[in-house]
Amino acid sequence: MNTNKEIRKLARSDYWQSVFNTSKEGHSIRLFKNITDLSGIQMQFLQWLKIYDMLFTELAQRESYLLTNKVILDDDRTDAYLYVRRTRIENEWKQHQLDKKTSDAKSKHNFKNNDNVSVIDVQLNEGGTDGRRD
Amino acid sequence: MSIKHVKEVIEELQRNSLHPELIQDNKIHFSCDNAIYRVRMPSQLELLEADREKNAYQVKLLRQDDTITLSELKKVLKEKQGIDIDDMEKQLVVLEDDLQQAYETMAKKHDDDIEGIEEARKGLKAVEDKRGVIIREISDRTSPSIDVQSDNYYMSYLTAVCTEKNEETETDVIWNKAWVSFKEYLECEDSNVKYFAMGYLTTLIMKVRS
Repeated sequence: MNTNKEIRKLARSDYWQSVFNTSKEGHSIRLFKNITDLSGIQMQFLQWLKIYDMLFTELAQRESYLLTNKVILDDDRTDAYLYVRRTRIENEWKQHQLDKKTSDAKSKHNFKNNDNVSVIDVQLNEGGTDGRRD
Repeated sequence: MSIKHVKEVIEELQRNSLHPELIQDNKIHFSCDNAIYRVRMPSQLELLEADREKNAYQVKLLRQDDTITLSELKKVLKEKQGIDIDDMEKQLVVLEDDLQQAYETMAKKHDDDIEGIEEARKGLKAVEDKRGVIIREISDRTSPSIDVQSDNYYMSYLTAVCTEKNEETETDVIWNKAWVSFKEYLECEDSNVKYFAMGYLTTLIMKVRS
């Protein structure tokens, strides 16, 4: 038995996805017989529950033309989709960082060359120049 | 219904059947030599103790004359047998890139492109197989090193502590330790139970991938 394959099959099943969604709504649901010392298999199962929940949500919202129900049911195609998705997010993040840097540099440049600078007059000492109250 | 058809139906059922017993608790049951055993997830305390045992064993091996560290073994393998473990590890990194390429090809396939999907799947499998061969070779070649031996010792300790044997009485189902102590485990001859228990424990503990 391929344990990883079996865990993924369980995690994307209607039953476990329903259980996961109910637990997300704040209902207290006990997933396993044991509470402590979760096994590696259980930890991996929890991770897949979250991943499949995310994929089903993206499928419902039609976030990507690459994601279909058949993709979710096929481990290789899911792995491929997750890889491409991660690459897309990383690229978007890099672009976002680049845009932010450019925008920061632009605003600094504008500030230096702008004559209309607002001046806020802050009076530090209350009741006299030496700061003492009468 | 023909025998072939019945076989197909059974295979289809097996494909769709779920195995909730894998996750229902932190144990795996198995049968071996006409007895039932189970391995359970070690507690945090047992994991700490296993670490301590591993470190002590590593120090003991380091003090012996006929032992070799991983880095020394890599050097010897390269100089005397022309086997370059570092190069093999680099090959794995290159294959990682090939794997990503294969994923990109696979991800773009549409549901109705069945041939294309199967072709991409073959491509993926070919890369995974290549990786598997290199990983196995690295594992085999480095097994005499102190580092790998102490890792094995760590798993042996946990296997000894976490394997239980089913002893049924008329009224109760009792689980007793398969080996009373780690010492007894080490003194016992290699057996199927040891082999299976370590295998199942490794599966149970399996690392969560990122």
